[in-house]
Amino acid sequence: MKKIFCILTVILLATLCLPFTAFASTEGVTYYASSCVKNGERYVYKGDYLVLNDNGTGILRFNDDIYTLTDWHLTGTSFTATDNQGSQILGTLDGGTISVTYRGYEYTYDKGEPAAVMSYAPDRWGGDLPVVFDKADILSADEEAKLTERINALAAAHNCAIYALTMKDFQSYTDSGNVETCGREIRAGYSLGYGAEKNCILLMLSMADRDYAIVCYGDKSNAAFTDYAKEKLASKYFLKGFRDNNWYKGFSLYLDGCDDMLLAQENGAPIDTNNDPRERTVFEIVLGIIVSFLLGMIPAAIFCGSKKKKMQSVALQSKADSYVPQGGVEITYRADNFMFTTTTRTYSPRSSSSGGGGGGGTHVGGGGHSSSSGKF
Amino acid sequence: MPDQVTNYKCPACGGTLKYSSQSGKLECEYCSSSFTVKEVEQLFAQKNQVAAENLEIDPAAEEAAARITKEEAEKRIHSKWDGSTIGSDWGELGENVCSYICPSCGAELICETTTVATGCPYCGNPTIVPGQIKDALKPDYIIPFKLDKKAAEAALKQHYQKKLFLPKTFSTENNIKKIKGVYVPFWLFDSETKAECQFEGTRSRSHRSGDYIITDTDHFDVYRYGNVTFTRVPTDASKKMPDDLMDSLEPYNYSELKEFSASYLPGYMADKFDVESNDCAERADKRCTNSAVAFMRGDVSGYSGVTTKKSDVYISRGKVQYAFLPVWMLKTKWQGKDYLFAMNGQTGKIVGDLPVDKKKYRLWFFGIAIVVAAALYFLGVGNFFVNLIAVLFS
Repeated sequence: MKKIFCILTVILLATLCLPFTAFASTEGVTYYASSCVKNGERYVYKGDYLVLNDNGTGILRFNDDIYTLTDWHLTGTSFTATDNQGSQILGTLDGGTISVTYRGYEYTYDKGEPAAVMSYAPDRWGGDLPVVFDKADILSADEEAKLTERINALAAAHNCAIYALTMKDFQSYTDSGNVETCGREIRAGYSLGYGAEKNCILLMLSMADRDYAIVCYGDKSNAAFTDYAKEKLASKYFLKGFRDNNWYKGFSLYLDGCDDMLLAQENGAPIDTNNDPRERTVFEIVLGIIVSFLLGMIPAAIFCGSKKKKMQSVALQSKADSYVPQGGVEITYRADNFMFTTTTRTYSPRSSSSGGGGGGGTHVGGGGHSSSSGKF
Repeated sequence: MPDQVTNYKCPACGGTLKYSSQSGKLECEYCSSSFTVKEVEQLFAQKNQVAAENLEIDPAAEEAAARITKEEAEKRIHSKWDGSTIGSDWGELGENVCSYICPSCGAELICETTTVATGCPYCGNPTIVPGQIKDALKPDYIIPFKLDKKAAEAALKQHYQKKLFLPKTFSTENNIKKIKGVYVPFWLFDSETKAECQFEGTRSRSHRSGDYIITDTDHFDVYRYGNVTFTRVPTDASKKMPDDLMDSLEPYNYSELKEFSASYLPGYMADKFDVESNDCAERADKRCTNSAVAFMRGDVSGYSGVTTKKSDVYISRGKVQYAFLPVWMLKTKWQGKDYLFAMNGQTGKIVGDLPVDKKKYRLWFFGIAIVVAAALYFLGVGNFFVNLIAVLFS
């Protein structure tokens, strides 16, 4: 009887420790959402998943965005975690199933195959990628080295990481079917970024269907690469190279654009709909030049006028101040009488638009990412 | 014709004495002797007295003069030349010119009736023409020349320096045609002015109320009355001298005013006044009026805005003095056009309008405008204003 009790105790303990032994054997365990309920109603949950890394980090795909888990704990079966927005995930982990409440949704996750994104660079999961990661093998070693050197210099200058990633087909690394989501999964899963805030921009090329995605993360990066700036980064910079299959040129132009846009942001005027000297109509350009020229005429007139005045030294004297002897001025009467007060009201709204029509700025998802994509 | 022509001869060698602006003495060009103005005045006063006495007690001279007259009369009787077509009467011009004999070389010279001191164009002998001032006022004061001809030439060259728009060839191809030191007649006016001025002073303060900025402005009636004394306000008394040119030479240092003596004149030109003091007074009054109002205005403080509403200035005219002030006149010619410059012979201040190289001016103007415009455009200032215009018109 005593033996039976001991055996049962060992079995129980082994069952309780199963999740820990599973995590210990792998760097990350993926749980896929099997149901999602809010206020008694079922919601679409397809594709939502949770990856728990053995170092206490993880990622969460929720509502088509990727969140970073900064700190997860398991006490008995009680599971707690916090995402990068500070939202709590509370629930239980029982065997291969996690039941949690997150942002008002009741999720059930079942343990499954490792997430597709983990296969992009399995030995780097949860860590970091090289700034140039040419999985599609379209760059020479020399080109990679040059790009890496320049990226490192730019990152140090701007405190913002820059990545250039390639792959044969993004569909291999995400089941979302969306190249931007794939980019976000890579950014979050491989913990890409500069410093504690993880500021970064990554450009990802998927060669199969010539897709690209730009993904940004961090306050600085999202401020510098507005939605408008991302569009310009593609159209005015890197697409000029990629469309000619000149990959090195395309990435070089991408770095040029990153430098320009980060610099603009650092100067307090990020490239946006209302601040893009490259995108103006001919009329606006001509008007801008005329206005600048008219303004330029002011110092020109002051300078030339003062120099010309020095040429003319002959003039009638209008005053005789020089001929007043010391003590020659005597004020005999002073009076300052208040008469009345006038009041004027000038319309001056507190918040005035800086022009350029709205629609500017950066649309940042709940996970802290902003992104854009297209074809090259 | 002036009845007497004076030039000062050196008591030591008989050479001509000239006033030196550097030493302040009359110096002999030949034996380098120098004499103070007082010494020369005393010496020549004695000589004149002796000459006058000799003239009175020499009947032979009278007889000789009479004999010459008879000979001339005889010559005229035998003369057959008809001189009636030679020359013509001076007419009205005769009122403005006169002739005198150069005591050094004997040349008969014609000068204007206002000329008091000049030089012989043949022998360079500096001469005072006292007959010219015999019936005119004697100047009360004179400021002797402190700077010489070389200083004037150097000052003119300096005047060309650092003038960005001066045509390049102006200083190189431009030659001084004429340079002369002139004692210019000036009236010096003393006056007491009483000014009664009324101003409107405003003080503003603003605060925000919702979408409006409210500005309250307090209005004050400000009165300032006062007296301002002016001494020796100068106006040139020569028609020949442009008023603006002479005004521009001011100020003179009156602490160096000296009592007038003809001994300061040799070596320089001098004109007597041909504009009466009453005709110049208006200019002096205007200057005093403007200054008096400005002094009253200057006493008003503590306001963000001040406008003059009324200004009454009553001038009590004081004495007028007549003075000779030293001026170097420099005349140059460039590309067929004359340019006149003047230098204050006491302080060295030089004035005179210079020509402007229009091509150079345009080049600089548009050059600066374009550079600044480019900088503004690339800094986004131009686009900022374009956006502003767009907002204003939207």
